[in-house]
Amino acid sequence: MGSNKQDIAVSYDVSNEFFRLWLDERMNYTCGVFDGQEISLEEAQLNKLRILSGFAHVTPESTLLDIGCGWGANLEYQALVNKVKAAHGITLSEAQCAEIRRRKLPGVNATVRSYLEYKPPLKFDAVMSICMMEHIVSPQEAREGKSIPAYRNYFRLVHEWTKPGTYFGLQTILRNFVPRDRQDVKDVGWVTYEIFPGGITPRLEEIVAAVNPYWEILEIKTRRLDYQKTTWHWRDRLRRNEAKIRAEWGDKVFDDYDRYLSTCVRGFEKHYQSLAQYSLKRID
Amino acid sequence: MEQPIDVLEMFKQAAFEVDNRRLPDLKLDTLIAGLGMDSVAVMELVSYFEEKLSVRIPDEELSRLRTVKDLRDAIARLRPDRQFAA
Ligand SMILES: C[S@@+](CC[C@H](N)C(=O)[O-])C[C@H]1O[C@@H](n2cnc3c(N)ncnc32)[C@H](O)[C@@H]1O
Repeated sequence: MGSNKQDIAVSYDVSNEFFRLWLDERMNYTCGVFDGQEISLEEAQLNKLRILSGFAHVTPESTLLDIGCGWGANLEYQALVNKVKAAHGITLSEAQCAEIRRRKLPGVNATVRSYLEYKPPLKFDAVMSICMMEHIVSPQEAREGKSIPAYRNYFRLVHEWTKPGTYFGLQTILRNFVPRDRQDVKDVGWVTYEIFPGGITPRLEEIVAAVNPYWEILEIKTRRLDYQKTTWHWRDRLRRNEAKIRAEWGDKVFDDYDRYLSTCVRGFEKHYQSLAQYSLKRID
Repeated sequence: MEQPIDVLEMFKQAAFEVDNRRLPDLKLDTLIAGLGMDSVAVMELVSYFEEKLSVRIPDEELSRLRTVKDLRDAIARLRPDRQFAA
């Protein structure tokens, strides 16, 4: 189902130092929130984490789960800014988990585990998941009509792992329409199969259908242009580090990531893709 | 009265323009996937129809198009104002 551990290694285990060169300093690998303002990528990422923490009703009393926690930017925010009681993260990437452990964050626990096999050590009362659902179904499974059952199974598991009254701050990329332009079809297909193998972005209506009967949607906010701006910043930083990247990781890595990020900038601009943030409340 | 839209003829023309293919034996029940065009060319072919007929076929319908007739029916639903050749 979706991306397996080898697929995830293709997407996230190029090298932590490589990603650190072009992501923000805490290494958020998801859309920040600019809201049309001239702010830095770092500030935009903090905005995003603040908004999603609000969607998940995080307090210092929270015992929080972050599903698909990346290199730990959100876990760090929860530990140091929101000062939660405990924050657990799961990721399928060994390199990401190593980085989180290196940060030695108070109250933070990270494991390499798929959500499909996760056995939580306790029940959580706040959940966040930032752009992980893109890995749940493969393009083939989506064509076979398996998306909604797979997403529903994910929402069922998260329901099982949480206490009554839990709020869930969720963020996903959205698939809107298939490009018609020859080069765009090729580029979007290439990103799907080569940069993020095993996964495909969900459609908004699939998420809306799949939350039932486990979660009630309280809010949905789309942020297409914020993701366009985020990917623009990533590409800008990548290009500033071109010489170093070519020297250390080779021409193919630089050229592939430049093509991928350029495809994202164009894809959000043309609305092939968008982004959504959701506040969900557990149906008890 | 405008001429009825002949999807079969348009399809042949589109296949020639986007993929340099001649399809003299094309029928309404021909499977699009069986024509040997890659998925990029198929999307270009769809966009040929969309441009000529000023329609936009929604994604969920795209994934259900199997035959030329499916394409004709999807377009006919979007252009109830036009006649379609059988
Ligand atoms: C695009 S990254 C986002 C990381 C992080 N949330 C952020 O905002 O930077 C997607 C994350 O989902 C994780 N992931 C993918 N499939 C998973 C699965 N089956 N179970 C748990 N995590 C998974 C990846 O390992 C990665 O950490």
